[in-house]
Amino acid sequence: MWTMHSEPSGRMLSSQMKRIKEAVVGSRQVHELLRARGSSAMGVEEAVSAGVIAREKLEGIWLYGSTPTALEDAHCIVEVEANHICSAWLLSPLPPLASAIAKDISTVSVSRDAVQPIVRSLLRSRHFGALGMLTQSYQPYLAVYRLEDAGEISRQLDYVQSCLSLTGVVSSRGLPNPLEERQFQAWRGNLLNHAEYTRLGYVSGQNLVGWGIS
Amino acid sequence: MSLYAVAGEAILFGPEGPLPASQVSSGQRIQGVVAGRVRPVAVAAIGGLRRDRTYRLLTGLGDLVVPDMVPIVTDVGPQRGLAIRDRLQAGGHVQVEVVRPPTRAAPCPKRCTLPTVLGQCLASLEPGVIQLPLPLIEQDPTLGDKIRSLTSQARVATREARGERWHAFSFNADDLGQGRYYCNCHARTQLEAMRAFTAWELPGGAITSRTLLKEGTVRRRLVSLLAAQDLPYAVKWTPSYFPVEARVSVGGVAWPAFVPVTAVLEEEGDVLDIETEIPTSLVSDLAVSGFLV
Repeated sequence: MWTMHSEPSGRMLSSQMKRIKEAVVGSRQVHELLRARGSSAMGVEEAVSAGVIAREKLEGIWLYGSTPTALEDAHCIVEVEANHICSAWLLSPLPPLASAIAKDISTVSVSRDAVQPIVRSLLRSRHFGALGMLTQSYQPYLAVYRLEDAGEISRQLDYVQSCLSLTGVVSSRGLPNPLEERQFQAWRGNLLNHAEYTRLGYVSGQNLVGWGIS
Repeated sequence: MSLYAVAGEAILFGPEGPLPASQVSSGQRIQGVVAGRVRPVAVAAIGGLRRDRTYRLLTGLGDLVVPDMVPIVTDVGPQRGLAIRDRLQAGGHVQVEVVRPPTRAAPCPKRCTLPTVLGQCLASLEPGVIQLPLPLIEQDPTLGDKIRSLTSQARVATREARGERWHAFSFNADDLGQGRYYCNCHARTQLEAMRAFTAWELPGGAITSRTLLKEGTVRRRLVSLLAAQDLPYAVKWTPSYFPVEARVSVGGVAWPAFVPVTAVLEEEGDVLDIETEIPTSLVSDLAVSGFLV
């Protein structure tokens, strides 16, 4: 369904942190951050109080940064990278989007655990749009898009509706090319998944089959 | 006389049960808050619908829609929709004070037939399809029979189909109107129908309903019926940071005093002015709103 970019291993993350002085991580990697800062003997609370690392709570999740500046910069950097990826993908399912952002950022090391709450914060403040989709167990998740692509998304959804009323089936390959060329084509399947989410039909292979509503 | 701006789709409560503000007429009595007490207040006049900026608050009891300048009573004092939105986006929390709906609604004077009210229930679904997860049908085989029976009583022909992981009933809603007319005729059957049409999960055997964010008409109909029958319920919006759907579960022994606001959406919607015979705050969407315009 999508290509998952793997989260860097603990050892790789640690060596990245040594090379890149600024890093932002979630709770799972805070001890590696302390190791990279030469403070592996310190407890987390002690390290925060002593100013060895910085901490902020975002979307209910603790983020730890090598410095307060790293934490501040991470928000901007993640937003810029999310824009870049969404531009290439048009529609980016959220779990892989977080992984892709973490992998692509080079200036500050931001772990996937840290990217996720930042992206949620960007969505909450409506810096991006999103469409609903369903997992195999019928739980909702989001596909993210840039605000400047809202018109394109709308155009594609209009096409799906009109195609369904004419022929009853929409193929992902039959969706029109976006007005602005995109590097990847997975958006086609994601768009049909969203159409299924809105009860226009059901996804079968690479097609959306309508329920025959006039 | 006092004048209030109200969202046309907001639910007001009167002796005949819940009504969208757009359906309220002069002479009717609606719930208001006078000198700190909830009591019926007579409507002196109703203005025409106009388009204006509104704010849709997604709360633990459903949609709360207010015009731009109208404050709502919250745990941090009277707040306008924009202020609540800003507070939430900055990571803060807001809770809305809840007014328990009145019970014992008088019969609808029109004495609507069962096919009519069930047709309105179906008409509120857009598109005209009831799409159920396959595991749900397998878990409760009677659900399909219930839907067939209700659509048959509505005199609406349906087409059944299975597709991959779904079981669906589709129908032509063209002749059914928009499903925005409310009345409490056959209220229990209406509620049974709305719960069946929006069924999604059976946690512990009790149906949880699911509506998409854009399905305000469906959701309002469902929660209004629950409120009118004094059945406490809860609405969970997911995901909380960018809601796209609401899950409605029935249960609990008491109405909450406050419910959280998950998100606030700025929209353009129908607004109308309501003039009451005495100064009051209005009970709109189970919240206290609308001080003097």
